[in-house]
Amino acid sequence: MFVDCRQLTDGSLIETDLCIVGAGAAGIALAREFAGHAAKVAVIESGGFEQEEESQSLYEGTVTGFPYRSLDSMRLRYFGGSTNHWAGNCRPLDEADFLERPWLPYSGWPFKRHTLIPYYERAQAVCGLQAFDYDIESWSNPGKLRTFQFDPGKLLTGIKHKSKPLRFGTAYRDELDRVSNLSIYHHGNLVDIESNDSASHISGLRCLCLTGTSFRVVAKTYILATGGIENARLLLASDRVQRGGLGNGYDLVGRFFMEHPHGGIGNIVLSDRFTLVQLYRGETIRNAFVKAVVTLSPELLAGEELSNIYFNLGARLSRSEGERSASEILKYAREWELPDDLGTHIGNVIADLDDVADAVYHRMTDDADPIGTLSLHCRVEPTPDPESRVTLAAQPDRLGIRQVDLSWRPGALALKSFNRGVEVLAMEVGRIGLGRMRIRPSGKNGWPPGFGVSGHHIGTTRMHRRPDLGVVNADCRVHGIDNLYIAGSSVFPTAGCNNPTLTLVALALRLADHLKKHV
Amino acid sequence: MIGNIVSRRDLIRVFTCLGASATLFPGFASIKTASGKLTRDKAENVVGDLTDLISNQASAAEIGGAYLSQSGTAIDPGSVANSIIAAGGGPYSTLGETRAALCDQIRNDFTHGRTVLVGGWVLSQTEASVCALVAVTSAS
Repeated sequence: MFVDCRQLTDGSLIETDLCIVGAGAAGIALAREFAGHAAKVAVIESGGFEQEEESQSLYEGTVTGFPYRSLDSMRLRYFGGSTNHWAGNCRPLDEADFLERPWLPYSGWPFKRHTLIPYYERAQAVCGLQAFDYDIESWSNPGKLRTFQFDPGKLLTGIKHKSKPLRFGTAYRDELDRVSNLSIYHHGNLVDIESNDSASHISGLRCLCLTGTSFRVVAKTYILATGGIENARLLLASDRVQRGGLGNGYDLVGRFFMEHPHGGIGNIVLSDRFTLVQLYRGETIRNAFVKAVVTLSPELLAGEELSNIYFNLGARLSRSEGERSASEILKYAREWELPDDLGTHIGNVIADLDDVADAVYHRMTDDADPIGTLSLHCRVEPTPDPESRVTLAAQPDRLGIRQVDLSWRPGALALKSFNRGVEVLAMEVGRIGLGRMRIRPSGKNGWPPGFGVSGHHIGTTRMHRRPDLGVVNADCRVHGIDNLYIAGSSVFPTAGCNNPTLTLVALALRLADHLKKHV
Repeated sequence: MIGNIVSRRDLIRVFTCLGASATLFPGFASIKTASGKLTRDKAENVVGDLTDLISNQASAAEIGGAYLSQSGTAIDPGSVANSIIAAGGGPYSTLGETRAALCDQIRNDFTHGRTVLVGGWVLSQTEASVCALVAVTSAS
C-alpha cells in the first residue's frame, strides 16, 4: 500500500515493527524480502514517483577538496532512488577486496567473499540479471568469443553483467503495492532520529513533509537506507542526545568517504582491425548481456601493493569509404532497390577493393567487424581515508537539516595504482601484438584531464567488528545502538573497483535474513 | 619539419610492419621478405638493414623525430643500429631473419617494461630507436 504523507493528519503516529527509511536499491530490496512476513513494515520515502525539483533540492550541499559533481545531480530523491539513472553494470567485489591488505590502510571486511555469495546469487535476480556466473570460462570460447592472451600473472579478463538497466521503482512498484504487511509512505522526510537518554536505543523518527505536515514513526527496528551520503548526514544531524551525532562515539560517521575515480584513459589502436573483440564490446549470451573487463591479477596487486583497478574497453567501428559504400549498396539491395548515387558507391568500392574484400572475407569466416580502435576506460579503487569525509555545513535545507559538505580525495595509492595499471596494460597490449596504446597525459592533480567519478558513495558508515574502527558491525547494526541498522554502500569498509549496486543489494538481502530472525 | 605529435595513422603505418603484425601472423613477415638477401656490409649498411624493414618511411620518420625531439639527444645511427642487431643475436643473413629478430626484441621490450612514451603512444624502446634511425637517415 502506498500512502502520501502529505495527506496525513498533522502529528500522526505510525506504529510498525520495521521501519526502512529510503526506497532506493537497498530499501526496496529489503522491503521485498518481508512480503508475507509476520512483521509489519513501513518504508519512508522522501520523494514521489518521479523527480521533483523541491525534493531533489534537499540534496544540495557543498563540495570542497578534490573536484566533484554537484551533490543534487548525482543522486535521485524519489521512489527507486538512484536506480532511476543507474547504468545497470553489475560485478561482485573480488576476493581480495574483502581481505586485509597491509598496504591499503583500514582494509579488510569482517567476512570473506564466500559469505556474500548466496546473497550475490539472490541479488542477481533482484537487479534484473540472469544467473550469478562471473566465471570467464562460462562466457568465452576459442572462436568468436575469445579473450586476449594476456600474461595471467599480470592481467585477467573478467566478466560484468549489464542489467537493462532495471529501475527498481518502476519494476517493483506494483509488486510492493500488493504486499499486505507493507506500507510505503512517500513525500515524507526523516528529519530527526530520536533515541533514549544513553543513545543506545532508537525510540522514534520525526518526519516532515515539504508541505509542513509532520508525523512520527515508532518501530521496533529501524534501517537507514538513504544512500552513501545521506545515511551519514542523518546520523550526524541527529545530535540532540549524543554529541556529534548518533552512532558517532568514535567520530567515524561521515569519515572514509570513497568514490571510484573513473574515466577515459586513451585507446588501443589495433594492429589488425579484424581482431575479434566481441566479448569486450559486450554480447548477449544465453539471455544475459555480458561484457569482458580487464583487471590486474591478484598476484600483481599484492606483489606491487596496489589497489584494485579494472579497464573497460569500447570498440569503434572503422570502415573505409569503400566498405561504407558496399554496406550502403547491400542495404538497398536487400529491399530490391538501388541507392541514388550508385555510381559513386561503385567507384568507392572499386577504389577500395582490398579493404572491401578483406571485410567480406572476415564477415563470412569469423563474423568480425572492422574495429579501428578500442577506447579505454578505467575505474580505480580509492584509498580509505578518515580525512575524506562528509560533514554538516552551516546552511540548513528547507526542512531545517544542515546540508552536507563533502571533502574527499581518492588517495595517493589510487593514483599510483592507476599509473601502474595503465603501464602494465600498455606493455601487455604491445607484447601480445594486439596493437599500441595511446594514453592521455596527466593533468595538474596527476589524473588525466577529464577523469571523473562514478557517482558511487561509499564508506561513510563503514563496517568493522570494532566500534573504534567501524560505525556498524558485521550485521550492519550501528555499534552501541540495539535497534538501528544501515543498508547501502555506506557500510562498505573498502570500495573495490567494481560497481557497487550488486554488492549493496546482496548486503541488503543478508541484512533482511538477519532481521527476519530478530524482528 | 618534423612535428612532435604522432598521429594514429602514422603509428599504424609503422607498427604494423614491425612487431604487431608479425606477432599476430607469425609466418607473414618472413614469407614476404625471406628472399631479400642482405648484401651490405659494415656499420652504415646495418642501418639500412633495419630501416629497409619499414615500408612507410615518412611515418616512421615522424615518430622517430618526435622521439628524438623529446629525448633531446643526438644519436649515432651506426652504433644504434649495431646495438639493436647485437641485442637480438645478429648479424643476420636475410631481411626475414632481421625482421623476426626485431619482432622478438620488440616483444621482449614490452615484456620487460622497456617502453617509451612518444606523443602519448607507448612504444617499445627498440621500435622507437628504429624510427629514430629512419628520422636521422632520411634527414641527412
